[in-house]
Amino acid sequence: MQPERWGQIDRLFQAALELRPEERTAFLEQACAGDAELRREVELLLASDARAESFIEAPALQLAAPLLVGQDRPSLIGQAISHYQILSRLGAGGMGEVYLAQDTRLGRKVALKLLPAQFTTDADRLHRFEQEARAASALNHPNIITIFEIGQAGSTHYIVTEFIDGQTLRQQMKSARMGLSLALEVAAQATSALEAAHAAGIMHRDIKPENIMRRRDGLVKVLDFGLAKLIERQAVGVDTGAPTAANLRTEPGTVMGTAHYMSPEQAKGTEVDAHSDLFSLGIVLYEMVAGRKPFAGDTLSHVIVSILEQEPPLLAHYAPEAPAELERIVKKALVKDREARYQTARDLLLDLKELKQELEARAPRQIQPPRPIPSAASVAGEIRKHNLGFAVGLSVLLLAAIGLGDWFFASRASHSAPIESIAVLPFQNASGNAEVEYLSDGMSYSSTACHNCPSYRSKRAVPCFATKVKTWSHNKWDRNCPSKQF
Amino acid sequence: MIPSPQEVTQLLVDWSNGDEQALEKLLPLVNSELRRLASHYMRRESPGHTLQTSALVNEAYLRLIDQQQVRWQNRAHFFGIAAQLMRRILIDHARRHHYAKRGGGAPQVSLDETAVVSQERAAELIAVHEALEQLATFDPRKSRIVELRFFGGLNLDETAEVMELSPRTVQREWRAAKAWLYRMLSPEENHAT
Repeated sequence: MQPERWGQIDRLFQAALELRPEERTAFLEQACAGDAELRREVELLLASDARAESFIEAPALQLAAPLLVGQDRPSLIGQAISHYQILSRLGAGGMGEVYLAQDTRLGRKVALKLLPAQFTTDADRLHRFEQEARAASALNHPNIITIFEIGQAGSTHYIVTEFIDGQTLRQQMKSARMGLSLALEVAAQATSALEAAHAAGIMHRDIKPENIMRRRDGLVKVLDFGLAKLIERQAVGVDTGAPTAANLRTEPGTVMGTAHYMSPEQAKGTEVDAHSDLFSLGIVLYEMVAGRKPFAGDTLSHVIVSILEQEPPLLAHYAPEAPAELERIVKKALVKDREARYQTARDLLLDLKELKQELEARAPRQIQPPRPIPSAASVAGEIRKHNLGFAVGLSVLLLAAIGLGDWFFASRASHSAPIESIAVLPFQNASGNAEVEYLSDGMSYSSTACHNCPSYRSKRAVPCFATKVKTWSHNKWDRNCPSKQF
Repeated sequence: MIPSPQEVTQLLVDWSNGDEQALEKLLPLVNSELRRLASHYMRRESPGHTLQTSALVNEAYLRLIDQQQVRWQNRAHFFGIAAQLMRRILIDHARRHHYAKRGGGAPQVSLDETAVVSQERAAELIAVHEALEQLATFDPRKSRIVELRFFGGLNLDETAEVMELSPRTVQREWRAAKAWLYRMLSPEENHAT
């Protein structure tokens, strides 16, 4: 724009602002004297002015605050809060930072969650949250995390829960896509948790992969029941305890809730009930199987529109192995109209269990690998990355094992970078046929005696041979055969 | 080691005289101070608290800068430089954040809500910054007023003092600049310039 032209627009804009709105049209008509473009520019500016009231009134620093914090925060490690000695940071979620701590009175490890102060300054809100947490702490169910204490030290509010030695579903999904059977197992356990909570009149309101953990022994724990209550905003007659789209937009510096796992009623900010949890769990189940979220979008608004209006792509599109029955279950959990959705967690649980049994009956001996059989390239990459200490935790189907030799050679042929070392774990004869037992031992020997690959040193997991177990999982390997044995 | 306020002031003066190395030394200092302020916001942020912002930013200046050394006749110059510095730092942060989350063609595996909000904010900041650069080409005075107020965190009277204008003039300029920027940033509007 030319400065002169802008000067003209600016002057007319300022003059028009001095007038009452109803006088402006006549003024501009006269002042612009037939220059339609000039008039349009001034009118657009006036229209923007009317809407720009709060725009950039708060300084940039405030807008940027969430970008700036979260880096270099002072460490709490080594400090004590009440009788809890903080040992390490486990992670941070929307509801605050979580630390591993030692309960110095009872001598046990606990998880200590510090609630962000901006959610606890409102006494009323805090009170309602405490009520909810107290109710949740009364839940006694193997799949629900046990709350030990809700406390306050100075101005810091905290929650102490059992420490879960495992990973969140988010972490699990990041490392590898979950197999069908594992996904069903996890979903069933989480649904069981919801069933118990709903029966006690408690809704979760924020089911998402970050809030579901799987212990090393496979037990699933649902975290943070009722914590979403914390973000409740003042509203009359509507239970908006759950994150809603309105909250996410208006709560300054908000760091809670997750748009991707909201139910349509949450996205709309309307009343939330147990159906909402089932919808969110449906999303988690979908993501576990498909490896992607059913309602995607680049921005918050896109995600919300997707949740409200779009049908998710068929599971089979991303996971061809997904049976039609699972497709039906997910579809029923993700119906927009909550009346047409699963009515109770129990209904969903029964369907999940039935499907699981059916799949197991169909493939009686099949054991779902905890990780997909990795490609030669990715295994080689990992081995290079971790050098000697890398323990490959594979539950190997016998058929896959037979292909193993080819697999190494293919990796050599297709990969120019040399493999320096390989750890070979014992193979499990999963066929149930004792006559081919020799194959499982023979495989590990033959794969270490690889004449075509003279440069790599290979070590068999001899010290652990005796521990060959029925289902050979990553965790068992870690426990029984720590990698330093190599 | 934390340099004294005198040293920080000297660095600012050096930078304003074109010494880019002074900026290298300044950035980490100001950064950590801004982070402290930002976490302060995050802790007490709630509707109604926004008015304290200008006071907070001033506090940051006070902590960093030797007010004695910045003599009265330098004050305007100093605040101008400080606002520029703030703008630069905040935009750097926003860009890093924005590109870290979106860049590289990497699939957005975990676009959680925190990321969405931060990303929208980062994008907004960058958009304001870029529109302001455009405004500076035909109305540098308005652009500077926005820089002082929005990026520098100065209030109306302080801005007027720095610009050597009456508060009323600053208010008029600010309003026009806001309207123009708002229009530029509204996707539904026609951006004829």
